[in-house]
Amino acid sequence: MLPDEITFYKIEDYLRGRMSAAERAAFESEMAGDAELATLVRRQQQENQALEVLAERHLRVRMNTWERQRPVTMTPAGGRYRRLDWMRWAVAAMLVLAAGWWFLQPREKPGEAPIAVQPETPVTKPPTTTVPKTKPKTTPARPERRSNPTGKSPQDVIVEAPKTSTPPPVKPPAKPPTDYASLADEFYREGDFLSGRQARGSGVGKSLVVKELLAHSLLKSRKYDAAVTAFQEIARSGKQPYADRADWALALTYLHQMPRRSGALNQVLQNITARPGHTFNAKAKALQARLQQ
Amino acid sequence: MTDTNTQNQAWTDEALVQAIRSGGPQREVALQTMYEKPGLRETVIRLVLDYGGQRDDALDVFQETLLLFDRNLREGRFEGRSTLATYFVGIAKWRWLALRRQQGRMTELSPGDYDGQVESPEHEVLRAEHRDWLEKALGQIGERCRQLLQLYQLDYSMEEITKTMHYANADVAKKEAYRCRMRFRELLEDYPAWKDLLNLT
Repeated sequence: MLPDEITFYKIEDYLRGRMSAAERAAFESEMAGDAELATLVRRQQQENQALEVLAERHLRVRMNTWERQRPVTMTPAGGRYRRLDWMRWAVAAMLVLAAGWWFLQPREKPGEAPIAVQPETPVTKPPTTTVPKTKPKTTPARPERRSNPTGKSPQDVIVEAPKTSTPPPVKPPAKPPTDYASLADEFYREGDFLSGRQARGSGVGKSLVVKELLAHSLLKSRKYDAAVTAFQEIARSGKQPYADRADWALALTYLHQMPRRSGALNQVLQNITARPGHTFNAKAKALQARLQQ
Repeated sequence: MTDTNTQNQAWTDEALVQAIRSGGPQREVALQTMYEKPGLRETVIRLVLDYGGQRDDALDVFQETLLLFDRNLREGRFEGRSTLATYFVGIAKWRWLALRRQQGRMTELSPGDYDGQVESPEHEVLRAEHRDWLEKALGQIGERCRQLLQLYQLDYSMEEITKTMHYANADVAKKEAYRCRMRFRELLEDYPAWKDLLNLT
């Protein structure tokens, strides 16, 4: 039994709510008196429900499209969540590996310029003048630092080697200024600073190891303010041996920022020297002595 | 059928309901808006995880929920007693608990788990148990007829169907839709299960 086209669309209008209230009432009245029409309506309704398969199929296709279009960072769900998690872990692992690799690299040999204060390579040939004998022994290849009349931080004030072949005569300073960066590097290079790094325990410990590696990476990158923040966070954890190491690293970071951070440096050194059991108590005292020379 | 940027349009619940109920291209845009609604997906994921599911389950439930949400709205089951987002999450919860029950992992399930009527049993039966032969019947009517019936089912107007499927005019599209529908009906008659279903209901 097939309805004609007019009846079919009339039933469709009824089932899909496209009739006015009056039309609807009239149609229902008609159905009540026509069993054949009522059967057609019921069958058509069943077919419409069956055809929901098509609507569902269409929406599934569209959802797959939307899913592919979604930026990964804004879809933290389901498989995307998993992908994000995986990516986060991968990035974290790469950072740790990179920091670890960097940290395990052989330290500079004495006599080489520390990384933190490498001067730019001159474009022209270096001058032929001899280095004055009064230059500090700890920095044989470093550019000379001097007092800072411009107000810039000391590590920014580097006397570049003259580019001409007839440089003005270099007058030896009466007393070499304290080269804080060299001093910091010198103390940093000492092996016992790294002792205990292999001690890894709980999740908290592992987390601190990661933070510590990243903090040292910041220090090496001369991002001193960020390094200070990172070391302070580790120091505040109070967990040993990370906290003591962070205290010491903090002191050496401040040393790089001297004389601007002299107050902070003195405070940290006092904190360390006031605790006889501090891992770096002796080192801090030695540094204090060197600074007072 | 267009990938409209749903972020450019501010949608109220009322507008979303209206767009989904009226069907056609606006329905798709409205559904995409729901699909990308900030926080909705995350809420469903948390819900599934809280009820013992995994992340893979959560995305499946999220998509199944949108299917139910769409169907419920088009069939007038949303009663407006809550916001659409709450309604959506309610469906998700109902759906996940139903799945858990089917898997024998949980028996507690109440129709009141979401705001609105539960899907009718015959609809559920049609959708799940008879899906195979429905798909076969749809496979026999041909791709063009299937596409036409799909658009018609999604309440595209005859003008929109004409434009989408390049018919000469709306009357031609209407005649073709009728012809395809009758062809589908004849194919359904070949399935005893369909006849049984008609006699039962």
